[in-house]
Amino acid sequence: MASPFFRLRSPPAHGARPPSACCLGLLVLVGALLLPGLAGAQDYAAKGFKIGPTSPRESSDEERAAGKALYQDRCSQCHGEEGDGRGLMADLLDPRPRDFTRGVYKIRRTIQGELPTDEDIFQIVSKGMPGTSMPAWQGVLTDEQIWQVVSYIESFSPDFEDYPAEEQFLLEGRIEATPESLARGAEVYEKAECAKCHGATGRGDGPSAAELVDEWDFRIFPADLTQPWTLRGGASVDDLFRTLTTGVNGTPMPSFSDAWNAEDLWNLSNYVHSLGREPVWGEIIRGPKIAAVPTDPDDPAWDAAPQVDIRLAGQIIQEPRLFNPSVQSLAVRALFDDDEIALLLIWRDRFENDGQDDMPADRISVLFPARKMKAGKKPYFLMGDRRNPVDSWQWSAESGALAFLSHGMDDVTPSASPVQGKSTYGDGQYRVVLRRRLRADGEDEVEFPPGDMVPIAWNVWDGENAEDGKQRAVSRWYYLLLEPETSWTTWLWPVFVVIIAGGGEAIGLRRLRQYWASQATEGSTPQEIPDSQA
Amino acid sequence: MRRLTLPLSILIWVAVWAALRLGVQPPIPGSVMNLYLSILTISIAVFLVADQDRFDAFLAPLVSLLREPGLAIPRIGVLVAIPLLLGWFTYSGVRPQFDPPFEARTIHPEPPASFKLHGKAFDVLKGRRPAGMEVNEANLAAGKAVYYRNCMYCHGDDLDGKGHFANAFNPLPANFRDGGTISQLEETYVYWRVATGGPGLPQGATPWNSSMPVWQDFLSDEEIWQVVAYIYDASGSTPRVSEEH
Ligand code: HEC
Ligand code: HEC
Ligand code: HEC
Repeated sequence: MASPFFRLRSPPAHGARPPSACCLGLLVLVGALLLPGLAGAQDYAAKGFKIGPTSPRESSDEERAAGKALYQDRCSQCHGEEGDGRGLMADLLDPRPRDFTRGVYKIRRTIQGELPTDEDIFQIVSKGMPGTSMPAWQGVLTDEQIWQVVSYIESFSPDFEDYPAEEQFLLEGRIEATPESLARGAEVYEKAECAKCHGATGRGDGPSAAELVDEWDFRIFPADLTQPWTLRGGASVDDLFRTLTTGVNGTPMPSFSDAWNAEDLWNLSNYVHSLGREPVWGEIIRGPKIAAVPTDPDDPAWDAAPQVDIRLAGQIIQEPRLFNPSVQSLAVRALFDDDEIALLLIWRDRFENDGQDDMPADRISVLFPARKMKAGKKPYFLMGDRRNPVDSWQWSAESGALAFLSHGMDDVTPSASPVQGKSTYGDGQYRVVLRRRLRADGEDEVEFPPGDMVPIAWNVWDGENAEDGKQRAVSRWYYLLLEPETSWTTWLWPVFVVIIAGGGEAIGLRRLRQYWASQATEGSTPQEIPDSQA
Repeated sequence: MRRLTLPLSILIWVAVWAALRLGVQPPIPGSVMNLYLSILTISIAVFLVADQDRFDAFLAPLVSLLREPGLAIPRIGVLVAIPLLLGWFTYSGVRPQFDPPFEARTIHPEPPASFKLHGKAFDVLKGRRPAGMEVNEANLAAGKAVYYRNCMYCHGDDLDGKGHFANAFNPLPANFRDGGTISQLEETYVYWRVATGGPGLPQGATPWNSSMPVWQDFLSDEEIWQVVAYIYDASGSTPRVSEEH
């Protein structure tokens, strides 16, 4: 292993707490020589970080007892009855449920290597950890109950008694995300070598990404900064600043407050924030018509098509199941011309597997009902069923575009459907274009009459994660709509209405003017009797 | 006050519209909303016409807008805006719109009289929990393990239908804490649903695309009884008991 960051356990300079009991003796000895004590706080203050004392909560035996009952009821299935992370299905989850006996917490405002504050744990239990199975408990448990269970899980590790954190970073002093701040942040991103792990564009595909493990020796991947909805500790600029300042304990993600000052890290947080985007989860993929569909995934013509994000789940419905799919969402666009339809599929994949290594090749399939079905009816979403076949267009990193006809995942045969494909891979991202004639050429091929809602679904395989066969990420059915051009008759009615209304106004106004004019002449005559009485 | 008759009428109309539109949950259907708004418009008109002075005060600003030489620019603005607005309304009415087809869904379809489980027929109406599968601590503990190793990804660790894969599926996984799911069903019905899953739903009863797996392909008879007992116990609900029992 090349980088000193790997298996980073506890920071040598400021770590006041040993990572586990076994090395305690040694570390106390070394620590006695090395520990700069509170000098650390002054160093941080000199670099513009705001540091404050922690305010530990007092908890009573009753509170812990109530917390224990709640824990056994709500948390032990995952975190284990003894808090050791060995819950009923711990081996099926990635990341695994936390082992609380080690006292290692990822999301904290305390110095790297230290325990979190009580408030830190309260916050993470309330908000949950996006991108993992750790649920958000806010709304399910009351604040009081969350405090109870927090005080109970702290009792799993003696460190909370012996080495409580005494200082914490106050997340103050945020800098506005001006272009200068972003430019400065980009510079820090480069100099701090974030790209080594997170990749040049932040997709978590850096050169070191292949070889990282966490404190528990499980493989771990750098976060994909372009998908902020998957970040464990939240993705606001303040959250990012906290992550960069304190690091993620138990993982190779280091803390940067030793090497950088607060201003740098605020700029960096702004920059990392700007790498992300909001997902657009949709039901309908709308494809506009253009003169000629692009064949290249990077063609700027794709900008004309709105992008929709699709959620994927592991295929856990038939054996063999896949509990931890590596691709959890993909983005889709569609375009068509007089002749052809083209789909652009974009997804994050940290490693390219083209079937030449020991791993299966990366693949994606787009599924359509092979026969026209009654409105609202669809084939079974896992590649069809006995009665209702599915026309499946596949692109594989090994063999390019392929087509299949399937009656379910067990009954898949190659078909002659003339699907063409072109792909690019770079910066941890596949971009694949699949094209075909709008009209079906043979039997059991999907057709795309503009204006029709055509069911569409996806399956994705990541070779690096050994995904193959039924072990794949799947989606449910969505709809694809090729938007027909608006016919000229649609414009006729509004134009007609405008002309009638404008004409009416003109006539009405002329009549009114005549009336006013006649009133004015009447008014000037000496006659005093109004019209009505005459 | 009189001078403000026109602005006040408009204000009242807009206020009532906003209250109906934003203040009522669930939203009022379009046709009912149109009815309410017509009634509102007519009431305001009747109120204005009922009194000659009031009506004149209402018309005064309009008349001066159309008449006063100094107001030429606003006049032209209004006269151009009205036909354009009407044209736009017409356009949004006739423009082609595409909605996904309506998907009827029977949530609890009639079960078959009996079904095959691991090759043996089970009578859904007259069947019973077999001996040894009583709801006791050991069976509940076993059912809990089955649940968390198989069901929680969809139905949630809290049995609320919010597992971490739930959002990827449609229909959404059932929420066992909701009064409309298992607490309305007899235990043998739930046993049938778990054993045969989405593909076991009768023809014609959508959701044909339920992602609910066919659990007899994974679990033994006993495990299915155990997990059924567990989901009732853990969600704090009880099975419905049919009258003949
Ligand atoms: C469905 C499984 C599941 C349940 C139920 C669950 N957790 Fe977790 N929890 C996890 C996983 C998985 C992680 C680790 C995520 C990671 O490391 O990125 C975790 C992590 C945590 C952490 C560590 C946070 C940090 O900063 O590192 C805390 C604290 C926690 N859980 C508390 C709870 C409490 C309290 C409950 C019950 C009220 C609970 N969990 C229920 C799966 C679960
Ligand atoms: C040695 C590899 C490595 C380096 C260098 C590194 N990271 Fe990370 N980073 C990781 C890993 C691994 C994770 C995932 C932690 C997890 O999943 O719990 C991560 C997670 C993150 C997260 C998300 C935390 C969360 O809440 O989930 C952010 C933001 C982040 N890194 C930003 C950065 C930035 C900015 C830099 C450069 C200043 C950087 N990282 C440098 C490995 C690294
Ligand atoms: C892949 C996701 C998935 C998994 C895993 C899953 N289910 Fe389901 N389940 C669903 C969906 C979706 C529905 C709602 C549609 C339906 O009724 O089929 C459902 C419905 C049900 C119903 C019917 C509730 C009602 O009111 O009709 C029961 C009972 C049920 N599931 C039990 C289980 C049990 C027990 C397990 C584990 C052994 C399990 N499910 C695992 C997706 C899942």
